[in-house]
Amino acid sequence: MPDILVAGDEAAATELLHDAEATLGTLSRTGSGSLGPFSANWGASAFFAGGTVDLIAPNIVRLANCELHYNLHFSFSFDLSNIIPNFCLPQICVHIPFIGTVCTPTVCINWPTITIPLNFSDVVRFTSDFTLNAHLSGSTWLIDVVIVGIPNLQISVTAAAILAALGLAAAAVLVAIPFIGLFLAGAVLAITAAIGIAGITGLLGPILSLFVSGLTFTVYRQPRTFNVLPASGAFDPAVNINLDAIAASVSHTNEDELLIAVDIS
Amino acid sequence: MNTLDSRFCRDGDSFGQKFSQPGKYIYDFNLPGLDQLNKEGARFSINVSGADKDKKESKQHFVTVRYREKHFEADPPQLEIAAGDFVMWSSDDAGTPGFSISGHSDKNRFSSAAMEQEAVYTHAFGLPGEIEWGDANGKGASGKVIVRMPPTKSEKEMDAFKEVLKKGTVVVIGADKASPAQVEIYVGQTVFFAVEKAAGITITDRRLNVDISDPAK
Repeated sequence: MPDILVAGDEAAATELLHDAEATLGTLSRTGSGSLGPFSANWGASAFFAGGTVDLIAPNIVRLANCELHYNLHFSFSFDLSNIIPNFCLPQICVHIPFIGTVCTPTVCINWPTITIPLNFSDVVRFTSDFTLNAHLSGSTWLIDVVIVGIPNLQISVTAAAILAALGLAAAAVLVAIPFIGLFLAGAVLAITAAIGIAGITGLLGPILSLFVSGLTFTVYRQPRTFNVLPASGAFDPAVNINLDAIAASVSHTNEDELLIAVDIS
Repeated sequence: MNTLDSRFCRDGDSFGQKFSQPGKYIYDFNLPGLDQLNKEGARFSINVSGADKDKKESKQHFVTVRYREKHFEADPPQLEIAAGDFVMWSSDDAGTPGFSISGHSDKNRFSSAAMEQEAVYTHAFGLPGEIEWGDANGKGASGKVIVRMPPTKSEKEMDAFKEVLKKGTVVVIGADKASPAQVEIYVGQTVFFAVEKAAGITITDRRLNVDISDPAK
């Protein structure tokens, strides 16, 4: 029988999780990956919010509809010549009265290498099981809930939206390139078709997985030495107790509860 | 790329000069005005012989301008032509920096940054918009080019546009007047600015005119 036993229902556990999400704050990652046939550099930041807790005995904390808010910035560069066919202005001859017939040479356009940047923000909701892990970190007891596996993130709709946004971003870059206006629609189509939904999910999925993989919320934090009474004079020292062991579990009696058992000395 | 400025010819631009007077002309590529620093040392030449009496038409010669090891090169570097022939310079590589062309003989001179007579600057317009042009030297004529995007969605429209591309538009520039003062073209089309007689003018997009007479201002 533990010396101290604390119980919280699912509403209390939900509140603890929301506090832990806020404490975790915004996470950032950078990297590079494949965007269809292109290589993209990316930077992403994300934070977690919301969700409701369903406690499942003996050790599962299921967090339903947790929101992963993310902001993704990526850019990729490529040689336009690889997707737009060569284009040459033909030789043009005119008659100028005081000179005679004057002709220009044929001018072939060398398409440049371009960089397309994109910023995208969205929210993806997921439901996942977490396990409880009480452990001593230095002189502080922590109770973590640690995600089990990697949840299935539904990003197909988002991927389509990103692809559409990427088409607009490409058009904005391309429209400033001389002579490309004639091929603008085709060029945008070539870029978006080359990447496709698969290309977006191939980049976005691994990025978002980085944020949820091993996701850990610390729901309880307590120094090992617990001050019961402060010192009140030279002959009246502080009264402390030691938290020798802490265990966390889910119990089902008449309702599901999160239990924290503490042994002290 | 693709700025309208005879002082800074780039891919899609050409500068041409008719050589009516015989003589040996030397020339070089440089920033506008810098040729005057090196009057004797120009690396390229055009030898203009007297006109053949039996000659019916003037001949056009092309010179390709390239950039090699931080120097402009003319290909061919020397030309032998007859009086009345026309020489046109242009680059064939988007990597070639902008250049002006200027040269002289004992009696005559020519420059893309100060066009005086029988000179032509051509420019292929790559972006839609309304471009007001003028003389950056503050002497000559001015005008406007309206560039529209052609319909190119269907194959039929694209074929029609390809035919339009073959047609050039000529603007003749006299002492202080351009005719026509305003032209309307499609993206990809070329305008020939032909200077009949002027006091050393440029053809320059007015947005590029920066007054640097007193940088401290």
